[in-house]
Amino acid sequence: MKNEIKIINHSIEIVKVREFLRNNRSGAIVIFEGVVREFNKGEKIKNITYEAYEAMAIKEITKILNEQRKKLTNNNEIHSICIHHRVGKLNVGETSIIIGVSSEHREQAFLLCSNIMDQIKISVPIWKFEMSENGTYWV
Amino acid sequence: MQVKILTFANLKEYSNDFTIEIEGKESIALSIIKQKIIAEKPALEKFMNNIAFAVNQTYSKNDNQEINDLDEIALIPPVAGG
Repeated sequence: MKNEIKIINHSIEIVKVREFLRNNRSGAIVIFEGVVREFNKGEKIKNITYEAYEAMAIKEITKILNEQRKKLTNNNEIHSICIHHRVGKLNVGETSIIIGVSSEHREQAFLLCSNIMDQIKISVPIWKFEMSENGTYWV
Repeated sequence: MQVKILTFANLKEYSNDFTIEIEGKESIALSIIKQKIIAEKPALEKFMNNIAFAVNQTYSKNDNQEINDLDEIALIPPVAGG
């Protein structure tokens, strides 16, 4: 079991994430990418600036990862988890977060990936400042 | 004792990070720190019921939690990661 959690201010490199997750025991690698979309609540987005309380964000993500992994049955089938979250200004189409899980079979990887994302949205101290055609605001 | 107060996101428009100094104490309850935050930065008062607090990078819902010299208190507005 190995994990990698990073808050980064440059583009997420999916190839490196995949290489981190890949190993001969894993029959499944699930990678979720969160992407800045063009419209939010009917408003056309120009860009989003992400801000993080980095030290706490890493602690919280680590906690989430351990809790969600424990909740799974057959959690010994999970091999690696990789989470990278961007900070700084992102344009439409750029990846803001990547969550990757490798496991023996696909079911656990899909489930863990989805559950981790749900929890990150609830408690990890990261904020976004949206710039749309109608103005700017903290989401 | 000295306690560092961190602000984020929209709160930064009302206050930058700052330090609270309390004479003659080695520790104090989080509730007292909250009062001192409002006294020091009145503009933050309207947010106090809608934000979370973290002590040394861990959420705290306990107003009686003991805060010690050099602890770091973060004011956490609603998060929006992902």
